Amino acid sequence: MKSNLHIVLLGLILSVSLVNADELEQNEFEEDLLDLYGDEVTISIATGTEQPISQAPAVASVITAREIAAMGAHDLDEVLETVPGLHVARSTLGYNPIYTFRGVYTATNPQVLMLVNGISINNLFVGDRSQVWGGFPVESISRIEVIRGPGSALYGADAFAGVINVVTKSAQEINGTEAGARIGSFNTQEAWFLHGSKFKGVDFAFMLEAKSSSGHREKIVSDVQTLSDQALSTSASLAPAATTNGRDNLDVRLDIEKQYWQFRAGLQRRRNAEIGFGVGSALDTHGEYESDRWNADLTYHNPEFATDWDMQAQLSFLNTSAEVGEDVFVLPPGAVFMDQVFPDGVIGNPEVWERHWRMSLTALYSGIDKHTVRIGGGYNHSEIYKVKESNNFSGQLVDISDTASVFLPEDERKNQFIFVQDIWKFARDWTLTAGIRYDDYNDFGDTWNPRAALVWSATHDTTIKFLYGQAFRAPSFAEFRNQNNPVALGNDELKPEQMQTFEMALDSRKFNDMRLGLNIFHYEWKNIIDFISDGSGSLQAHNQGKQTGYGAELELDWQLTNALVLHANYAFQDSEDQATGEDAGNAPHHQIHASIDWQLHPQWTLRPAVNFIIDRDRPPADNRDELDDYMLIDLTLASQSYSDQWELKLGVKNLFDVRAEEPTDASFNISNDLPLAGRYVFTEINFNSK
Amino acid sequence: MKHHFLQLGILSLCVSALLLALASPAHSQGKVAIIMPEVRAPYKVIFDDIYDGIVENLNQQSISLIINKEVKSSTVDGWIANMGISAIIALGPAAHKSVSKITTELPVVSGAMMTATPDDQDSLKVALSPEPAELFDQLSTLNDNISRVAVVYNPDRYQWLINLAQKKALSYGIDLLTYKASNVKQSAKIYDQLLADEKPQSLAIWLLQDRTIVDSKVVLPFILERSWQRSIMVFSSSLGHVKKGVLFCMYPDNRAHGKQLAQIIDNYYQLPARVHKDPMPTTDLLMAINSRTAAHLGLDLNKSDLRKIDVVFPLTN
Repeated sequence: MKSNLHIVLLGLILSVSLVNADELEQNEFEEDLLDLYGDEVTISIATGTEQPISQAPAVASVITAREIAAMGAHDLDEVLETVPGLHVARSTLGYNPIYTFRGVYTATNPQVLMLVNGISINNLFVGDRSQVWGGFPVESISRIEVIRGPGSALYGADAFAGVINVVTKSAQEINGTEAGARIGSFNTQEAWFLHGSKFKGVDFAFMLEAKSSSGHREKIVSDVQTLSDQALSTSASLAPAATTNGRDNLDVRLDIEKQYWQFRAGLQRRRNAEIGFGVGSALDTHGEYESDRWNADLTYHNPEFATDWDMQAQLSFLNTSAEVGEDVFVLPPGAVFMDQVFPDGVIGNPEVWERHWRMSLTALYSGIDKHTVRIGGGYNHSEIYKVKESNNFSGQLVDISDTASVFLPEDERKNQFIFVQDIWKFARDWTLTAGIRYDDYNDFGDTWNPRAALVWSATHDTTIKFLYGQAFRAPSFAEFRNQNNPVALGNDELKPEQMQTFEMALDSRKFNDMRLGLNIFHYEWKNIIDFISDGSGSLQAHNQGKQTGYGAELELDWQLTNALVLHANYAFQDSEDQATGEDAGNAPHHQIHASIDWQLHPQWTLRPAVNFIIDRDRPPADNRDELDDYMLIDLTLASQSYSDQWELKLGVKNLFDVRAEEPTDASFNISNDLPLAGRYVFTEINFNSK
Repeated sequence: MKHHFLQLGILSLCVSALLLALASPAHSQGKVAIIMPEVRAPYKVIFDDIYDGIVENLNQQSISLIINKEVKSSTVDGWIANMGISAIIALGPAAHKSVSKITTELPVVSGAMMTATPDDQDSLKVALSPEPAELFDQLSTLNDNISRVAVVYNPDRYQWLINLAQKKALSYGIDLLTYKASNVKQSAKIYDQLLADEKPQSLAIWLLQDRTIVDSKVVLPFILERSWQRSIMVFSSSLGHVKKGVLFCMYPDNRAHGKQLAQIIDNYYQLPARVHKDPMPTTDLLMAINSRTAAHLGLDLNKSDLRKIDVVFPLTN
């Protein structure tokens, strides 16, 4: 029997001015450890507290848990906004994120694939992550990998404008207990608890994150109903009034791992999720949504399955819902709709439940000299298995679920796929990666998507890549099957949207302590699905649009001194709607993000950050004035205890309370855009048992 | 004020030790003391792993003491006497120093040493420096054309390691070329000559984890650039070097390092008599490789006889 007992002598940490011989020796020892490991990040990798990142020949950004914590981010979207070439715009519906990669902007944003641990969480309904998104907390995130440009050759549908892969923490990374709490403006409270340990050879991780917030409330002067009021001499609009953005979130994850086997399960629950600016940009202070997103996967991964074979098999499940908690008002009381006055308002409560089963097999073969071949295939079965709707369009609130009047029929989609990719080191310093994926769908046919990446290690400190890729975006069920909605009728003749991208990327570490990255891209996006007039006064989905764009991204990481690190990036894009020859609109032409990690003292860090959104045109046929540029400044101050077990953080986002706005839908033609949150002040405390 | 705090710290140590001794007198016999420094994050995790490796493998009871700069050797001495300690494992130079100042007949092993130099204390020392034989073994596996390995070292810090490496190199058929330097200026001149070698295909350069010889601002960038141009293999005892472009390194498996220390203490009296007081290098190692540099050198990382690679740089390509 062993007994272990710690006696911890806290000593006199306060006497920081004391520098004696022992302290110098200790500092020297720490420097010796740095000599051994290189830097603090490498220590984390070497000691297993941070996982090395898989290699992907693409223009990719990787943000680790350490960096997420340093930036004082509370939500995934705050992290993504720092990625060059990616701007997180907002939908009027619940402030849902619109991940705008390199000028590819649409209201429902199905052109971006989001993966959690490599598994898609994109929905069938409108192709986004959820109509009741409610954010994604970051405490359980190990790292976020963002690929700009197409990735369909590996990931299949919707890896179109970009791919976001969120990797959650493993038991080994947590290795003990992490817990914390945060309070902030807008009556926001958050708490989290993570535990990871090993028991009889099995790694267990449990992660729980909870949030409750009244949300920021920003004043809207004019909404869709204001325009209607002006035309019909009514006074129904709630404007001027504030947007609503409150919600209660619960995120729970479980991760069990033994040797080659891993089982993960999770729930993302959203309750009392308020509407934002309203379903159709008419203020609604009453409506609330709910969502439950259940996920599970069983993964077998054996890197040494046989000589030269690395094998992975995966079965995964996702069940997700978009439900109505409180009646949703499409238009407020007193509004006129279909030539009829609605004294109680126009209520529309669409609800959708969907589930996805996916299975895949991937093998990596390294038995051929100079080649690494990845082959795989799989089968996905997705279905909208329940659709409910109640509305009062007839004057009475009635449940029309399971009738011909419902907005969307229940249906399924089957997809089978195979892919092959070869990494060929064909000459010294030259690697060619070439791959192709074939996808077959039961509802819209099949598609081939190739990619190629030529990587040249030009010098010891400079790498140049040339990339080409094609991608497709599967029509969403709303685009395919919507019915009974005269302004958004589905079309089962739709083809997938297509994307073709050329890129060149340069990465240089020419200057000591500095990394410089430059990417140049050109894309062509065609078969864009849009709702256009079918001649009878209705709008129906058609493959209509075409957009081209080009641009560049510049990235700089510079260790100015031992205590000062600068991260800065600049992105430029110019995208054109080919039908009109005009700017495609909504996305910023220029974006600058910069932050400084300033180690004030071994236990104190200060991080100022600035995000500058510049020059956003309106899309064609939107004659409103151009959107104003905005610059937001954030500050985060963190103090850690000597052993790093405790951390106190104070921060402020949008320090100067700048009124920043994202575009509202052009078709509503309202004067108001969507205001982002004003100044947000927070404090948090963290505990880490490591 | 400073002295006041100091006295308070010592007093609290004594009181804690006394209370503990009184609380469990019957169980304190035969315990192994693990004395560790108080270190800040992220270094703390290194010691936590070594500690876990010790207690998971030790066949005796253990008790740990975390010391900081305020603790004097006499205090540690008193604690050891009061706790009925049967053996001591000291981690890091601060713990080693605190133990080396006391007079004890107990078996002592000092682990997690960095630039361990021989001293008068009759304790076994295990450094975090990787066993040279393991480095030579991997070097030969990666490229069997290498017949010469050049190393520049500071004799004040690494003479013991070079002595050991000289012996081990012979068994791998490697001619170890050693160059002494005590500062960056001297080492830069030597590297300049080495990297102009007329037979680069048979030469490899071994970098030690020593900033007095290989600094990150001047010497390392120069070595990386010139060795790339001339396709000279460079390997290292530092993980940080591999991240920047050196071909490979071996670095300690901290948990296994703890196991090594536990086994030394458990078998202390069965160990052969020591003929010298040099430290021992760490034998349980992990491997990191820079795949970009390997590709440039035309090396095959899929070789079946190559050991498992634990970390591959660059982390993203």
